[in-house]
Amino acid sequence: MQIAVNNQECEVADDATVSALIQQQGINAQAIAVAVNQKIIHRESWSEYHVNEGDRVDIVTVVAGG
Amino acid sequence: MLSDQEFLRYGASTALENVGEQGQLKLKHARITIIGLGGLGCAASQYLAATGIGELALVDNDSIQLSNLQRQVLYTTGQLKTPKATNAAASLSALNHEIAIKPRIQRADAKNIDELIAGSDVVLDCTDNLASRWLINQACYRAETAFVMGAAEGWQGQVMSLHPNAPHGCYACLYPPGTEERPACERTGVISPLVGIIGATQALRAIRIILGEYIDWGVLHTFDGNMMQWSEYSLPVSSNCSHCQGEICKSQ
Repeated sequence: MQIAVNNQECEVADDATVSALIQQQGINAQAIAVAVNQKIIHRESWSEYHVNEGDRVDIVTVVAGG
Repeated sequence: MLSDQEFLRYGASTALENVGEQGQLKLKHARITIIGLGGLGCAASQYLAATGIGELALVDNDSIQLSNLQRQVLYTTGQLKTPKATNAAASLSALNHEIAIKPRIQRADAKNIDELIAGSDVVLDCTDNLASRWLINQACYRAETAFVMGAAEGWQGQVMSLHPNAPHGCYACLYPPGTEERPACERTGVISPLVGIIGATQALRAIRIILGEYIDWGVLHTFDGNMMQWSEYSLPVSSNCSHCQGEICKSQ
């Protein structure tokens, strides 16, 4: 199915979870927050949270500088 | 009442319908603590001082380095190797002598953080590392004090206003302990005006909090300086949060 990841169209498995998506993207999971349709999904929920067709997923990189 | 001098100085603020003399008096009687006097703290403190916040507490134990001057606009080349807190205080006092400015040459840590933020109406997190951000998050939840987190790296900024008594997640719900930040030595730098944008946004938020104006508590705002694009994300409470899920937390 098609979803958008950081505004880029992306093909993922129909049962894809947030965890699977992060793995597919090859991103360091410890250095990001994830939002689906503009709502933050807590890290402990990533392995069970399934994305749906047309979802907008945003991977928000930690910014800590000041 | 405001003095004649204050009416003249703050006329552009008091002319606003939702400020007026009463709003300006709220600002005059407010105390804001700014933790971190780097790029964000320099920007935020200038606008808060100019606006007439009655008391600004400035917390930082660092001294000014040549590499700071690219973005930390309160400081000058002649002040290298001297403390940021006292130099910032002097600069802000020159900008507005009507307000009280209290420099603290201290690094916020577990031992002093409660005392540093005590009595603050709003705290600004202008620090540059996750450990300090978690420290401020926990302390503000303990004290039930509103705070505005700001952060900037590269061309990316983040701002979030948090109120311990509002039904939203906290900083550790967004980035739980164990989250990895890029080590300072590996950071790719920061484009100078970005810290101005984010720091000024923190100041704007703090002013609205003091005035009692609407704030979208618990919404993470991200700014992409490449695309000139703001995005926003709601932050629910994490039931497993080690910071806000306890007797001090108001669950959703």
